Amino acid sequence: MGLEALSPFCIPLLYSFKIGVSMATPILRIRNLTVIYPGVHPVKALDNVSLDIYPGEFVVVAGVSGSGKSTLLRAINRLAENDHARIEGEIYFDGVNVLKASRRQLRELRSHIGFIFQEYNVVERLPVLTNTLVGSLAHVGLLRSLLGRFPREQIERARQALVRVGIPQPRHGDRAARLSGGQKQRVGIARALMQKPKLILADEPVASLDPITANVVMNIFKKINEDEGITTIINLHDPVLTFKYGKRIIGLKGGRIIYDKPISAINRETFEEDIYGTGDSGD
Amino acid sequence: MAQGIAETRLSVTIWLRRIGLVVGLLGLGALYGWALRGVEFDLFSVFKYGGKFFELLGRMYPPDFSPLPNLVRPLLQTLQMATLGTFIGALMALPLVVFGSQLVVRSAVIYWPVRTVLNVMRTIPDLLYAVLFVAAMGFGPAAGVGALSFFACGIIAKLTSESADNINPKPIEAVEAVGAGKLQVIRYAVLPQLIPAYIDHVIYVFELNVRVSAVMGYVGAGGIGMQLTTAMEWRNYPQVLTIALLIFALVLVIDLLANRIRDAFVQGIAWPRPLRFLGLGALVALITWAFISLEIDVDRLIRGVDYFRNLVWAIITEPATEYLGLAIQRMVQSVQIALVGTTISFLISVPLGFLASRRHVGMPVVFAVGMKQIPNVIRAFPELILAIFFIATFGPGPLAGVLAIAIHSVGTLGKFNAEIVEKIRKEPVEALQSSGASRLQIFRYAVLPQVLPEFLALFIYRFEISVRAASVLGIVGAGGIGSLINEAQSYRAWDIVGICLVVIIPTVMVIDFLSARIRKKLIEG
Repeated sequence: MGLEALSPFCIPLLYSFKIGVSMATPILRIRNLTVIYPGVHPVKALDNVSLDIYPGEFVVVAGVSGSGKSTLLRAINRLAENDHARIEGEIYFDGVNVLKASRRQLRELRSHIGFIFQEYNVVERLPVLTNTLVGSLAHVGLLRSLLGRFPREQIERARQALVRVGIPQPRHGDRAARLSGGQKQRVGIARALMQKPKLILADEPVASLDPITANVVMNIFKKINEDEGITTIINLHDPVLTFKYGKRIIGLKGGRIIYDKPISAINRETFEEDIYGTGDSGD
Repeated sequence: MAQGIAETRLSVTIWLRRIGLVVGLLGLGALYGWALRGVEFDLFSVFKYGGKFFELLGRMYPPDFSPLPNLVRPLLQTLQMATLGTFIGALMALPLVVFGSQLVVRSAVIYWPVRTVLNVMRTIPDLLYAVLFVAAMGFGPAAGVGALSFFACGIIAKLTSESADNINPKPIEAVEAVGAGKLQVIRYAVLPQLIPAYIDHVIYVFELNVRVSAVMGYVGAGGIGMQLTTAMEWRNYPQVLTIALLIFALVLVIDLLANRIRDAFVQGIAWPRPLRFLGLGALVALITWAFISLEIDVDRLIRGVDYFRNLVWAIITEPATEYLGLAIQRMVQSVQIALVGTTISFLISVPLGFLASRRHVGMPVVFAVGMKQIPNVIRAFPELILAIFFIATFGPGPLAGVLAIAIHSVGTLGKFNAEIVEKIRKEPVEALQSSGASRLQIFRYAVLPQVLPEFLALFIYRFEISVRAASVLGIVGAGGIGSLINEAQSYRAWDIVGICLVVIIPTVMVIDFLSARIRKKLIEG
């Protein structure tokens, strides 16, 4: 019960022990973010959330389903607007106010944020290579892209990205429908890599995969973060994976941040009780 | 070195693919050039005489409602024929389904002959059945009921046995696992899955039958089509409009009712007991009423059977081979009519599909709902009535057939295209949005790949149906093999009708087979 004191409005801490990570300016700055899904019974999915994410961080957002994890990620690139969500507050990505961005600015912003979905969101009928090339659309001329004539170098990059996530060359021409779930998610990651992202947002990327494949995919994220220093935020509901891969863990419950700590500072048992427990201590 | 070889090989495949594309496009161009010539299609006359179509409509207005009292009986007769035809067809379909699928009998000796009969039945177009039954049983509604029964039976049996093939095997395994016998398995695992499908198909065919029943009178098989033909021949256009409106209203009401009943079945809404008995009672009453008032006598039925025996005998022993060439030539024209007509319809229906769906276009909902009604309205007009109107505009010939098919097919293609667009998975769209793609790019890479194969598959399926329609539209003068049937019928040259059957059945079968293969390839890749 002592945790209760910590939970409300936990202000993000600066982690000075993170070596090699620039502390100067956060890449993502969220202030008082509230997201409401209107309707007959409006749902407040996020309630006054504030966060700073610094370049190179590897953040896991933990919480049960319905805690607001997806909404948080989908608010950052305003995908939540597809579900008619009302987003209030401030989000700064790389110094740009996301919520005030025009359509054109939004597209530009999105092109720097790689988004990875739980259901992979590949176009089943298109070949693997084209699914990957889709990641470069924002920077390929409109006519070229409509005709499907991608620049040579982009094709080369797509092939490299695919090989890097573990899809060998002979499979690049296959239809995405023929891939297994784990392979589809690899294509999803390759698609994000094509964007040369400054930030990767992954919404439950391994929830539909078996435990072994889930670890393989999580290792890909880890490696990308370590090799290239791409800031990564991953939503996970599985506590085992959360503790295995997370470096900084943000706990969400009922749309509020109840935890924001480096992994070393977290007491695993009380954390699980607080995040996943059914006790009514949170309310 | 190996890299170099691999690259050459790759560029060779790319070139081969490009050559294939060019050859394919040229082939397609040639196909359409050939088909357009065959149906005497030229845009010039479409535009030149197209105005006459509206002139014709103008002469129909205002409709003449004075003969309305005399039209009530034929209208009811139309409904009775459709009801009885569907009922008999549904009963006839049952044994065909049971023995035509491998549910009960796994022996190929029974399975294959039944399937063959089924496939042949399904190739014969609605109006051709009507011509045959009128020849066999004489003029009147009895012939109409006979034709509708066979037409209904073919479709119901075919659709239901397809449902039987696609039945979920898991419940069957579960029931088998508890040690149930074969009949128990059928009772507890097969029928519960099959009966809703069967009822669904019967209702669907009833809707079709009402449309067919309304025009069967043209060949003398009873119903309001007879009055329509007479009015058209006397150029009594206001009366034509009245009858067309009556048919339109009947079809709309039946569709509406059928949809309500179907929804109840599909969603498994449990009707309160009294309502269920009421519904069942009404159905029995309707069928009995239809049976009594159509005055079907047994003598004529027997005579009909006799006729068919003679027809089949004549086809086998003394076929009118000297007409074979002509029949094939006209059949080719029918296929051309179907191809051009369905293609025009496709070109109209694709944009309509996007406009009529609420998603991905950003149209106001009211607009989309309005667009959605266009196919519904068009579907209520039987092809034959459209063909008669177009013949009055452009004169007899294949062009009228093309236009009738082009317009009528929008009814189904437009409706289903809109449904395809609405069924799009939104996840790929979001993936593209999240990478900063523009709307056009999203359309090209997330929407089009999802809808295009479905659109094409639907187009090819519709082409199958159009071939059947195009081979009977000639009966009213709209070109193709139907014109030969019409001439042969008026001279009572049944051997020539026989030779037409000999040409139509295999052609339709081959087209059905190819179409099924192509569609499977398109959808499954």
